[in-house]
Amino acid sequence: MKQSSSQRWRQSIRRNAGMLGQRALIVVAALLVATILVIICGFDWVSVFEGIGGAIVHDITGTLRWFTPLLLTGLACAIAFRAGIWNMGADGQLYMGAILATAVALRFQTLPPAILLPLVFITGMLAGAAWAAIAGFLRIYCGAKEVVTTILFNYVAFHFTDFMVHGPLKGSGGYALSESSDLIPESIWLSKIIPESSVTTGLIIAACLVVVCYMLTTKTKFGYENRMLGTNSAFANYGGIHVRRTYMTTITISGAIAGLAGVIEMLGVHHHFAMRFSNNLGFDGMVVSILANDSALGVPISAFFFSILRNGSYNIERMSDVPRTLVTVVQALVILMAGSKFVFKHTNLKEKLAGLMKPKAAAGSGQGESHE
Amino acid sequence: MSETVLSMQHIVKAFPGVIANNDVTLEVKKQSIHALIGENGAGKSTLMNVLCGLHAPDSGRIVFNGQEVGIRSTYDAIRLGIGMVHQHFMLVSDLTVLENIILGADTPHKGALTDYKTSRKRIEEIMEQYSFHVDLDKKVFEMSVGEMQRVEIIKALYRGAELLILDEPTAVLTPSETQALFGVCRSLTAMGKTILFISHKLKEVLEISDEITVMRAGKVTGHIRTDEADEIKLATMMVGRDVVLRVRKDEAKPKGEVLRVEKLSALNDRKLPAIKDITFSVRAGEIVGIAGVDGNGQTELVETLTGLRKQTGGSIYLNGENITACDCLKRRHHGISHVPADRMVFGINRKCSVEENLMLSVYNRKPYCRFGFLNKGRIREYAMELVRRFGIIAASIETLVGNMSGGNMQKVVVAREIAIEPELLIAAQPTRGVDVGAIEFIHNEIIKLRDKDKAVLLISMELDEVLSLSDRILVFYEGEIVGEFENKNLDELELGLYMTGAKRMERAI
Repeated sequence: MKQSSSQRWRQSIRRNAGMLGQRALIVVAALLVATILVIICGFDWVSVFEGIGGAIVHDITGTLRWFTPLLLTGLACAIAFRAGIWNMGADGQLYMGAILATAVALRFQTLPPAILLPLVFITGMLAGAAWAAIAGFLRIYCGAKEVVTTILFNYVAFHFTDFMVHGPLKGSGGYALSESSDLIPESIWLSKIIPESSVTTGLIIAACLVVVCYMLTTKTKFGYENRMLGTNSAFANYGGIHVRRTYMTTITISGAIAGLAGVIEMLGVHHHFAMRFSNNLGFDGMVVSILANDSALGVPISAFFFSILRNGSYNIERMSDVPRTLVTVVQALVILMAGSKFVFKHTNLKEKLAGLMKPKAAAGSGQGESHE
Repeated sequence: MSETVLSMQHIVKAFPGVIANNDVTLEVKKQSIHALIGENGAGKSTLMNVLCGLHAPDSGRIVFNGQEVGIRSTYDAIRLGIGMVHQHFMLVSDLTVLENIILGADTPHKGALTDYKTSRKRIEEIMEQYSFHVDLDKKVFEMSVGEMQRVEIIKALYRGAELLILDEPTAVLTPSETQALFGVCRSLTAMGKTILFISHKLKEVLEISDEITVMRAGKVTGHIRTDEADEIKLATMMVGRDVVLRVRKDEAKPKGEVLRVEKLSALNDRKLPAIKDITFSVRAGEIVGIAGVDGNGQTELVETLTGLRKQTGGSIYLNGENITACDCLKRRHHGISHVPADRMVFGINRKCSVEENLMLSVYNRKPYCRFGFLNKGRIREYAMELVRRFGIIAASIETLVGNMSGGNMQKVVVAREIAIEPELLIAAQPTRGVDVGAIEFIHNEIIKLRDKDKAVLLISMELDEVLSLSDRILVFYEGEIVGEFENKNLDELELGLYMTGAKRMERAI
């Protein structure tokens, strides 16, 4: 038994190392192509890497500030994608979470923090969950594809929150001019774990959630059902798994995590609901999850990479004239290349590589023949 | 009438583990309707796929219109004038009939634009010539199955087909549609076309064809002119006289009734009645086999019993309890276990490991799962034990099932479903694609289960399998039970007649 368990470890390490290597390859390739694009456009590519490097060396707290929300939206997407549910609405769920949390925080500011804080958290998560559940409900009972409805619900959420900060939650004084709600009571702001930065206890919450999601996906009955649903729903149904129930649970959890991301952004960084504050955190969460291969343990690595990029992009813009949207290009490249994993699988990359490594004479003569 | 239009000589085509066509020779005369019959897996489809350029034969030659031809792609086949009407229609349901017919064919152009007028005229000519009609502007999704089939035939004719292959054309048709199809076939041959008619319904074949070639287990077992043939002769050739490899088993000692099905009805995917008012029962300690040609409602019966398909009437009792309203999960909890015929869709999850596949039947039971948490250690032990016991060949239990051979996949399915010792095992095609040694093993496991006083319902297209395993046999034909036999000194030919609808028995229920 001991031997087999050590074998098992070795096997799982090998498998995970293989996956990590493949993902690293994707990242390197994406950066390479992006660099080439930068050069073609006539920008200074050295400054791009200086900017990205600076995000780690000089400004790690700035990177960690983005790490927290990306971790959360990444997890939200990973849980859903794993079950084959294309929840593209993390952004909307995040906004709904944040706006309702803000509303509760402002309305009940007189409550003691020990009651108000949990209340704010719960409200935000419930709001995100409910927003996602509507899409799930529409899928199950009306057959409307969640990949479409969740995107559309984003816009509803955007405009709903716009309305809220212009109407019921309109701030006073300067906050009104900056299209924002009032500040929430300072007593429930998340405390900073690194002074002089935006890194708060939210990071700890997010880190705990990684562990929870890892346990949920690998150690529980729900995790198994979730995975079977994502890999073969006919098989799941045949085996007696409640496909609908699993679907609803999954998309609700996904929405709740996205809602939590909104709450933590609001409580930790902004301290008020600023109109359209998210800046694509939800969409970035999808990329994080795709690069992490929808694995809860992969999400931190992938999220860290993207938070370096995001933070670095602000540096790049400060230091050179390369536009910040370069990051979006890298993200798009990552999605494209992660999508090409299917090609890798079917063409048997290993054999192809082995073929390429073989003496060039063979390959050369083969080419010669085709030319003749 | 006597000129040979197609001659396939000594065709051999092997797939991993099975020789689908073993030295098959087929001669088709011009302007005739030639029927190709045989049980499922006899190699009819493979032979036709070779003819259409979907498979390249390992050896053998094809002579078409007096010339030896190499058919490397479907395009080659179409160019030669070989048109296939597939059993599952290849039509785009949102396009009109006209668009479907000209799609992908060499179509008249006006510059870069398709010249619909000329194409329409050409199609109308074809329809007039063969005197049948379809509305060219109708969209395909609005059409009946019979009409769709006609569109497929026109599609082939529009591409200049001289030889039309109809693959199980009547499988989806109502009796009146079948008669209409036969009319079309006759007018086609009258106009000089040749038809290859694939079927396993003897009556229809006798009615429509001029000549018949029979295949069994990859070989041609007979060639006969229809006017010399009758159902008994054909059944003999189809089923064969080979000695059945019987499994050693003791006399069944049936106990109380486990499964009782009363007046069960269900529809197939096309919303046509697939099973009609079926009543039967399976007792503890007996194996009831369902014999029948594929497509006579067996799949629908299995799906209805396991909860994958909604019944339209009737009720199902398990150990006296009415489980008609239960879903898949509840039926599993009541002790129904299911080896599905469609392994790739239901039976296994290719993207997951052996362990994840094996645990499906136990993952939500104690001790493998407590308070929602999986006991990984227990599950691993369980999976390893099954791998050992059922001789599943895999590098480890972490191996992806999708990377294993078909036979091993089947062992995974059988292991998972039998190991939990269900009250009732519904085994559909339990040995499909499995090598001989494994067949024997699986058969023995099924018999062991019976000897533990569990009930087994066996559905198989392989008559041999039904005969060697079952204690009692029900014969299915067109969604009804047309015969019931104790499996003692059974005449296989007699059984063949029931299976092909030539005979039926009034059952006292």
